Amino acid sequence: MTDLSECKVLVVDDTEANIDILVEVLGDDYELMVAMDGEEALEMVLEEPPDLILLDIMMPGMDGFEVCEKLKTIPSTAQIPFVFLSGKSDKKDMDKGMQLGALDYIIKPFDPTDVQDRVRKHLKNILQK
Amino acid sequence: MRSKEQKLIECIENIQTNDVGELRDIIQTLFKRYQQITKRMDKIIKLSDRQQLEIIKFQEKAEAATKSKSEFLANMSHEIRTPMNAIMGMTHLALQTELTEKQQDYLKKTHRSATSLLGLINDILDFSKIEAGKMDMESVDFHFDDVLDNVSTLISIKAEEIGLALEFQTPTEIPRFLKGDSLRLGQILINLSNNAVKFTAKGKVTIETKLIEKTSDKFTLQFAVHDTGIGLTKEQIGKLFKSFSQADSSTTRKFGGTGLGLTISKRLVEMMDGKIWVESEPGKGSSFIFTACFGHGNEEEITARSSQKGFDKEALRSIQGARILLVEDNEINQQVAQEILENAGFVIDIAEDGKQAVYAVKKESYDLVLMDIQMPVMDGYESTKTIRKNPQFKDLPILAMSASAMTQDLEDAKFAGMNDHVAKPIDVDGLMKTLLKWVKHKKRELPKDFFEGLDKASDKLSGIKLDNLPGISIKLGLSRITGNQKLYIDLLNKFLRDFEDMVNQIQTSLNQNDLSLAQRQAHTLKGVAGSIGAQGVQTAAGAVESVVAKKDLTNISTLLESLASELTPVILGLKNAPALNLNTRPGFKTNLPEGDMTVLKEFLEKLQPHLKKNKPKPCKEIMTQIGEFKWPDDITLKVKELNKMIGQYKSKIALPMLEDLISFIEGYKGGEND
Repeated sequence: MTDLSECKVLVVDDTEANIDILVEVLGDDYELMVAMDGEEALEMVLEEPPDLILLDIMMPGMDGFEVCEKLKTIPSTAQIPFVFLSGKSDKKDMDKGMQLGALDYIIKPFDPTDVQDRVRKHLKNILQK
Repeated sequence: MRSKEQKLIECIENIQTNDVGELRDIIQTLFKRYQQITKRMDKIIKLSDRQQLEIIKFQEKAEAATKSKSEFLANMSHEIRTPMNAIMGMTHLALQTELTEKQQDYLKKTHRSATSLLGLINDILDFSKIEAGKMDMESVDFHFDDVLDNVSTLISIKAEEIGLALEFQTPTEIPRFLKGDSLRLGQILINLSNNAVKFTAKGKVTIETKLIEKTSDKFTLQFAVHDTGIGLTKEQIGKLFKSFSQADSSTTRKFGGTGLGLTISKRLVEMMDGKIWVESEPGKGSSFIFTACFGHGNEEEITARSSQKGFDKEALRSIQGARILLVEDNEINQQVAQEILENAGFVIDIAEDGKQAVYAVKKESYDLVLMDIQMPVMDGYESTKTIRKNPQFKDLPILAMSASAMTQDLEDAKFAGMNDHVAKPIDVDGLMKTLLKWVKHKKRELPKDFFEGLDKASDKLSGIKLDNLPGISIKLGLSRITGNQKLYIDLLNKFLRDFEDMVNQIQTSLNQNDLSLAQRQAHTLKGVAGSIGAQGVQTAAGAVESVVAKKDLTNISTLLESLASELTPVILGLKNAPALNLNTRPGFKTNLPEGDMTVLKEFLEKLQPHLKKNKPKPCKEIMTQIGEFKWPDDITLKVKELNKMIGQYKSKIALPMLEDLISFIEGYKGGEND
């Protein structure tokens, strides 16, 4: 795959408005999929592994960190790159996120063009590998 | 020491035995001891004096800190609420303009978020006020039912949304005329009920009131909010009323909120001489119970006051046209207030600070002044005091309009001679209610540009003058609904949707000898035509109605012809008026091509894989395509439900709906589905 527009991006967030914004800013450029909670995200990843996951942290049920740890334990999903997108702006949380192997940690409220730029950059890197 | 005492006692008892030497010895020792102790005591006393001084100093410091904290809060409260006012006011105004569906969705969400943010801010400010000892309890006569009504209005919407029943158990023995702080009582009940609704997935929420004690000067009431929700463990209950903590830390992320609500409620209950507690079992629901004391309310006063409460559009007419001076320095807030007031039919002049206001009231006669408090040059208090110095203005209603919610400010406003207070962010209904209370009721001429302004607004939106609609007097129609333009356009759209073919429908009913249906049809047409200002249609439909009602059908064909000749140009006019912006209103699309069932099935089958994979973009695109056709009502309803779930990314709910819709179409024969 060489075409960015064929990239599959999974957005995991429990807030409708956040998804609205992300669908609006990313939906035209990539094949966007959406999960409203951690469990749903895992199901979807197992069924069709995306090229990149944008993962919220504070969610009902399984939180973003837990989703991530779970993905690591499954061989077929352990290598999927992910970026945290979270309102948690403590250094502690960011450190934890990066330690879990995130490509990036974007703090909410985010600047939509910034998200566009970062996602494009990460996907380009992923494609080159 | 003790032994020496004993010896002393022994010696004293045996004093005749002449051991004076030993006695002296003992006394000397005791005296020395006494001196030592006194010295030590002195030291201790000195020390404690110094400590006391330190404590006093510390206390002073703490008090100063608290004071500056509460002043800081008062300022913050203002600083926070001013931009919040702009956000909420602007969103409110923007929502009244013509918008695409998308824009409307975004703005509604913005408004919802701003409202919930304001709620959080209010919680935090309330809590700080309590902490700073600045929370004052009112003691005012009120009707208990008004409090419950308010709770019901606020909670029932939320409860309904998630399918919960809301029940009130208020036995007749409960006294209705009370004296106390009704707002705070309402706040506690709303807080507890909101929690109950939040934590209850199904079942019901019950708000129960009991009379505990009745004395000659006091009622003690007990309120309980019962739910059938997730319930609480003992440990959780222990943590409940502590500030900043919720039953469990995962609660915040699941249910949101500051965790301050219960703390605030507890303190408020204590200020009403009551107590609050919880009875609960995990999985079986919880009951939050509190008691509170109230004085006996003055029945007459309450009844008199409640009769002027509530505002209806009819009543508004008695003050419309009034000239209001708006004193406000912030340009955005000026615009928000001005537009809201002008839309409601008032004449508005603006003064930018208190000094200008003083001049303005001399130059022009006003029915009322709306005065901001914090302004440059001269603030609202000063300005009011100066205006009141002139006896000519002693009865001029001056309302404080302030973002500040501190009781202190309200008292200052009263002290300065202001009559009442309107909160910012402006709550339109609240503002109208307050205006109804203070503006003298009399017939006034409506502002010249009131209707023109509305026409102009629609010009801007659509590039066509609404006035050009044949057979419809827009001014008349708008005046019937107090100039609510959005509602008017809705009505026009509905008229077009429902009555295009009405003459034929009446004819069909007559042919089938269903006179009562024909009469009803003519009657409905008459009513709606009247409310949109289509007088010709109204009269002609009325004529049809009355002969059908009399079962005298001799002239009916002439009357129907004349109705058709009135109705046809109106319908054509509406159809050709882009001003109605029909395409942005999916429910009212009338000039859309009829959709074909096989096409719909293709759309839906195309949708299915995208929905399965939760791909919102293509899903939304297909739903838009489906919306570009006109479908039978029962299908439209199902499509709308599906669209809603897709919009909320609830694919697990949407998927079975989609499958259901596909099989529904497969069995569809057109028309009724049976």
